[in-house]
Amino acid sequence: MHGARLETGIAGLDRILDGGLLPGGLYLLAGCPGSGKTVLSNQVCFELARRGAHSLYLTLLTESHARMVQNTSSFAFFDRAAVGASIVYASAHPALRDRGLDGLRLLIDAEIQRLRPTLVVIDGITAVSEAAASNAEFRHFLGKLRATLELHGATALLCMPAPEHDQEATQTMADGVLVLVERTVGRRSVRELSVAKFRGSTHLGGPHVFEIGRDGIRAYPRAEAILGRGLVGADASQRRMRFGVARLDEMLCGGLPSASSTAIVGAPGSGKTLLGLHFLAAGAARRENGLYLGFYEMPERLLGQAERIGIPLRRLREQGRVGVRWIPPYENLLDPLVATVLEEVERRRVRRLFIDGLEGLTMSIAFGARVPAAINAFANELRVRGVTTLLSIESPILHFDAAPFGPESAFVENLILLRYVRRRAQLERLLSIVKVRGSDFDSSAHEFRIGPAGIEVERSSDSAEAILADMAAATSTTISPMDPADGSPAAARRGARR
Amino acid sequence: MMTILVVEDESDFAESLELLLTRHGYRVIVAYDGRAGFEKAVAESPDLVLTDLMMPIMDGQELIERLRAHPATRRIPVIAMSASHQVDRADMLRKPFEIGELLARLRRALRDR
Repeated sequence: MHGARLETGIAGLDRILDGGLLPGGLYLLAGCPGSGKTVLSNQVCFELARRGAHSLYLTLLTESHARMVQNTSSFAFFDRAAVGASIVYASAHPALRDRGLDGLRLLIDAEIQRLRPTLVVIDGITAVSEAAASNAEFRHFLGKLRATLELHGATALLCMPAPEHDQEATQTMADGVLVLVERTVGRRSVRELSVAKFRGSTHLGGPHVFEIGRDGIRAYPRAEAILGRGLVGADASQRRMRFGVARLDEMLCGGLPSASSTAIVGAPGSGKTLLGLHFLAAGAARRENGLYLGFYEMPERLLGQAERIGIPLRRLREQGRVGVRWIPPYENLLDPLVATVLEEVERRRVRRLFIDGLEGLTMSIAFGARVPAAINAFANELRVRGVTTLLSIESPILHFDAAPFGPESAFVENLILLRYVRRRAQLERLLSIVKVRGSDFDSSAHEFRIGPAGIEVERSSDSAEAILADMAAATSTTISPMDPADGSPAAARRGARR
Repeated sequence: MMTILVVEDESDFAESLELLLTRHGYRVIVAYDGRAGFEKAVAESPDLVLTDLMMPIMDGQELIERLRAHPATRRIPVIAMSASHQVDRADMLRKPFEIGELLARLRRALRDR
């Protein structure tokens, strides 16, 4: 237990509840059938059993205990030896039907005295409110139940359907209300948990995603509600993180500042992934652990791509120096995705992270408006943990306007731009550094090539200038006058629109 | 007519058993917890007790011990039903079970008594 808290042992939920339930409290667990109430209640019982505590699971009008035990047995938390020993399932329905609310209350009192449970689950509390002659009688029942719980230090979870079907009395009397909902986003259904009331404690408000898997329920507190709260140490950005690409590191005055986030913006095939791989390999050479998180490039293809430019990614992966994680970009939920990455960062002690495809994050399901805040919080959390992050962002093939990406640009401290420019019949590649927060850098465009040793940046910017001048001249003679301040294609297009 | 005492806290399940066993020619008495079951066993001397193990007030294990200790009920055969792990004894039925299995066990226990 955590101070005066009854930890549920459910990952994420205790965080949402600021440590757990308050012992002796009466909590409502509300949700439609299938929303996860039974799994959650059972999981808490088994978690408590593991810690040597007893639970009493009273049912009023639900599935049979045999069926419930059978259904629960597929979860990893299930322990058959606990059933009937640490966890006692009993039906309170005959008591309620034959002797009314008083009979039920006496039964609960007797069972609490007999079994001394830490947790009492009453599944189907609505049956009690329906059996009550009046609201006052039901309130009286809940009041007595609370007193019994307090007396024995037992905590109660009362399961009931969605709160709108409930009588107000239940919520008024309860110390806390947890609501489970399942809703459809696009074609996918998403489960959410929220704490509608939590007397005597702070909690993380609003809805939080949860999932039901083989391990049972796992809740994911909203990224922006928990991440990025720490401070970045003053010396966190003092070190330089090299790419191992000679001219580029010089342009960056030695490398990217440590614990910063950098966007590599470029067209498909412009070399973003290769540049990221250089960054991870340069870190590995300095015994800094790296992690590649990709959404589009399957691991085998990525390993082959790295090998072709002399980066021994396969070996680095086998050594555990660089992790390669591929998450297909379909129907991911943002919070579980972020939690997975942070866990891996922690487990592998990652110093360099390359997220290949920001779209993989922004396309995940996070209910639209949340995306910028959640990604900002995520990026800040990485900074706080001292991780230097690269993010690749896709831009259109030929034309690059000033703002290719949206509100998430707020967290991008450094920006490297990889461009294709057409020079007569050829496509040439140019690299420019657009910004590096709090540091000098060389802003002139440089031509680069992808050769057998990977990305090679021209030592001087002369060739890049020649390419841009050629292109601008071609554009000005055939389309419109060139913008005198800027020879970029974007400027030329702006000119063309005038 | 053989009398069977069903001790089961889940009333829907108890009533289903009552219906089933009545249809198969048994007289059925129902109790919803161990204590009520013990009282009915003493009062009615059934031919067999079919009891759940996890129940409120008094669990099935305690009921069996009391039945064994009481002179009036000592010889009554007992079949226990359970969803838990304690199903390694010959007189136990693991829930959920097949009706055929239940009826066969009842017939055997009544024959062997």
